[in-house]
Amino acid sequence: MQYLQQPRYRENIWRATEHALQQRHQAVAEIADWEKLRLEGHHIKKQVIEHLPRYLNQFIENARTKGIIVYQASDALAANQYVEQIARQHGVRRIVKSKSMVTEEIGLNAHLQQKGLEIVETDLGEYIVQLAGETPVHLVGPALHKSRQEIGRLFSEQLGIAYTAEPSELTRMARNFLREKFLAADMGVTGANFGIADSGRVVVVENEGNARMCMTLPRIRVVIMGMERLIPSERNLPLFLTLLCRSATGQRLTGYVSITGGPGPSPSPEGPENVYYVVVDNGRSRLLRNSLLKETLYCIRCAACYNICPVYQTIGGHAYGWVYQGPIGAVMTPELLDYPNAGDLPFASTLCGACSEICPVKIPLHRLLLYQRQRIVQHTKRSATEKYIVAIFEKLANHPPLWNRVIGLLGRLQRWLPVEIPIPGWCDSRTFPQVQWPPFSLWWKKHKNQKT
Amino acid sequence: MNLTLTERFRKRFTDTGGKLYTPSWQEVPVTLRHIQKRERATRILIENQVMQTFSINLNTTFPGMYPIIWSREKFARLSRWEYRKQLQTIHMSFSTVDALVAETGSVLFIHRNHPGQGYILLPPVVVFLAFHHQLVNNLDTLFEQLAGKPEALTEGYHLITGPSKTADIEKQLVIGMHGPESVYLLLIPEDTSPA
Repeated sequence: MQYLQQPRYRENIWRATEHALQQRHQAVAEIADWEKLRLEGHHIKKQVIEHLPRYLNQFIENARTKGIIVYQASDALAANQYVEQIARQHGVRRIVKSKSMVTEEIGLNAHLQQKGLEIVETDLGEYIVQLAGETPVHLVGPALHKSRQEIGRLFSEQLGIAYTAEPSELTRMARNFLREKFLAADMGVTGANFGIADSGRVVVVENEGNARMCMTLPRIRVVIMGMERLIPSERNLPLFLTLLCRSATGQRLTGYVSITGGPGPSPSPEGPENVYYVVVDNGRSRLLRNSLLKETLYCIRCAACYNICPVYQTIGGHAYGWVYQGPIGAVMTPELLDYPNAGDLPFASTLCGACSEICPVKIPLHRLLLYQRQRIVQHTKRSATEKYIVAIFEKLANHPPLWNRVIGLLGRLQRWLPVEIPIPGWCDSRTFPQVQWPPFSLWWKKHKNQKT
Repeated sequence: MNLTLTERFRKRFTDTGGKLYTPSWQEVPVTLRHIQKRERATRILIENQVMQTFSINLNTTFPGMYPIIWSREKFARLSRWEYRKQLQTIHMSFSTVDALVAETGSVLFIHRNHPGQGYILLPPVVVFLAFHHQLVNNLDTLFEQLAGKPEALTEGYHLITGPSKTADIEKQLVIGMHGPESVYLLLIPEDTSPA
């Protein structure tokens, strides 16, 4: 609510998602057999998720042979404490980090800052939201809700520089400021777009070069990844890079695609001396155990479903209340956070099916939304009042003459008493709608014989 | 030489914001000098392989400029502090690459084949030199070829497609975020090499 009241918030979201959809449309139109690629992507991810323990073991074994230390974190706290321990062990004080949704999910920054470590976001969008003390609004464009004027004011206040609203100038300032951070950093943290099972390497896809800096300059490298981010082989990369880059940013390939493994030859003035992988579960096993919801683990985080969703386009990402937003977030979040905290999310959908149509790995999102609704209704205790209201509605909806009579009465009442009908809770953020009178059925009876 | 492949690469590479030159072997030093003047670069780093492959004469190509010759030996001798200090003053670097992808206009850089990676990331201007025979049609062909040489990939590799960029402020594209603002490529036909 607080975000939605900000001037231009919704306009900025709408403009950015429309732009992203246009770019994607052009990029996808170049590929004659796009549907075939989607299907292939779906089958490969299905194969991986169906046999996840096997692929995970293969990935971890191969990574260890490359000198990488792998830790499997069962939850957010375990992952955060392990990263903190790595920092302590190597005398790290300054950390640079590239964009990674799983680190947002586990709250890594807050944990490390609380422990007295400096951690700086280096992706421009993430840097902006970190300076503003906010959370990302979108998976690919974390600060797309902010106007250039807001960012200009933010930089002026936080970095003590002269105000400008020129994007190229703001970018230059951020570049200069962050370059210093890169050069002084002891540890670089990145996520992973893909983990390659048969080589133990990870793939990072980006445009700015900040992830490359995080991998190249600091002496310690930490990769934090969700345990589902695996693909079988590097031979699958052309397919997944095509699906991801074109769906996410409408590019044939992003500026940098890095495929990296263990520490390089020592001694060396660049590159990490130690490489750690932190493979995070944090609720993914729960998704894996559900025969339908495990399909959400196919997700390659392109955010195409955010961009096309009419609900996301209207309300933006913050209203979802957590890291994963849009249709995929509405399906996954209740499971990852447990229902009481996120049980409303699957209901924030029109079930139009556009998300399923656009998903590059063909996750049937609209069906999963419906399935989550059913589960939530079955598992959630409803109040006696709610049950009573639903029972009345059911009765009326099954008896059209009775329905017409009640609606007619309500319509007349609304005309005679022009005051709002207050329903506690429901009317906190909306007004009671005006009942249509006369109803369509009466109107139709009267007008059906008229010629236009 | 496959003209279609070359033309496709040229189109895609320039679409991403890269600047392409196609000099003959003999024209390489003159082209390097031209780019240096165009970018008004004063601090230059040249990968040793460029020097050796194209027999660059520093006195005639960059008179009075004293470029840093970046070799494996030099790289290995530097401390982290010296390395960062040197690289952050460099305005332009010249480097060889390991393959070119026509489908995406990308350049492949295999870490084992070069003295480090930072010299093609930190300077604002990067100039790559490549031969026509290094061109492959698409990512499928590239990864098929790479699958045949697992040893070479031990330290990792990366693909670079155009200059560093961001659209994080109101979706307006700005070139040059953390990496180079300008990426040049000299695509050289090997049949013009001196006999």
